[in-house]
Amino acid sequence: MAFMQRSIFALRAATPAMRAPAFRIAPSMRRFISTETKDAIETAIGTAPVVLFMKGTPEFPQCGFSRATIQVLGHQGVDPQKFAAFNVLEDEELREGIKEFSQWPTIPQLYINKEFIGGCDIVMSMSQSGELAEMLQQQDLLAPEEEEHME
Amino acid sequence: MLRIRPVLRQTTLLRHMSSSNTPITDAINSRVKQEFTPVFFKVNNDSHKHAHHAAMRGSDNTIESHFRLTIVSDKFEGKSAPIRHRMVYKLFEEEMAQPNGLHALSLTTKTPKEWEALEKK
Repeated sequence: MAFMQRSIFALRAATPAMRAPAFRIAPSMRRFISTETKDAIETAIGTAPVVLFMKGTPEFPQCGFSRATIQVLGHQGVDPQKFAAFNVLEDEELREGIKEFSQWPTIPQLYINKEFIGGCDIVMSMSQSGELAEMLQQQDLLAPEEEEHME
Repeated sequence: MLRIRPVLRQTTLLRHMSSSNTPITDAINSRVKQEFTPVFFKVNNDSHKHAHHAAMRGSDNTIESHFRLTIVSDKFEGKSAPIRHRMVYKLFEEEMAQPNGLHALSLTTKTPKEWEALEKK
C-alpha cells in the first residue's frame, strides 16, 4: 500500500499568496486557531479526495486507532492516488488546530471530499454496515481493478 | 511486615473516604446518565491496554485515560454519527483538553430502535 504521507509544512509553503479576503466572524463562531492554521488545514483537506489526519504515518501508525482506520481504508480499496495522510505528531499546531477546526477532540479524523466523516469508531461502523464502501464507490474513490484480458 | 498491614489498610480506607479513586469513571457515569437518560449504558475502561503507548509515555494518568462507552438513547434520534459523538465529547470537553486527562473515548451511540435491530442480528 503506497499511501502517500504529506506534510502540512510543505503545503503551507506551497499556499499561493492569494488568499480569500478576510471575512468577519460572528462572535459565536470565534475560533482560537489562527487564520494561517485554518487556511493550512483547509488546503490540507483539499489535497486529495480522501484525507486522513492521523498519528504516525500509514506505514508506521503511532496509535491503535490510527492504525485501525488506515487498515479499514486499505481493505476498502481506497485508491492511493486519491488519498493523503497527515501526521499530526509532526506539527503541534496542526494537532491542536485540527481538533478545533473539526470540532472533534481526538485523532484520527477522516475527510472525504472535504466533508468531515468522523473518527475511528465511525469509520469502523460505516465499514461494517457497508455505508463506507457505498460512499467510496459513489464518489469514485476506489482503486481501479486490475484488468485481466481473457480472450 | 505484620506491622505495616494495618497502616496500609487505613490509608486505603482514608482515600476512599476523602475522594473517589476513579473520578473520571464517576464523572462519565453521572454525566451520561443525566444528559442522555439512556435505556442502555455501558462503560469499559480500556486504559490498561494503552498504558504503554507512545502518547501515554510520561503521563500521570494511565488508569483512567481510555474508555469505551455504549449509549442507547432517544436523544440520538435523527442525528448523524458525528453529531452524536460530538454530543458525548461535549460532556467531557474539559477532561479531554487536559494533558493528563481523558485521552480517548470509543463511542457506540445508538437509538433504541437501532439497538433493537442490532440485537436481532
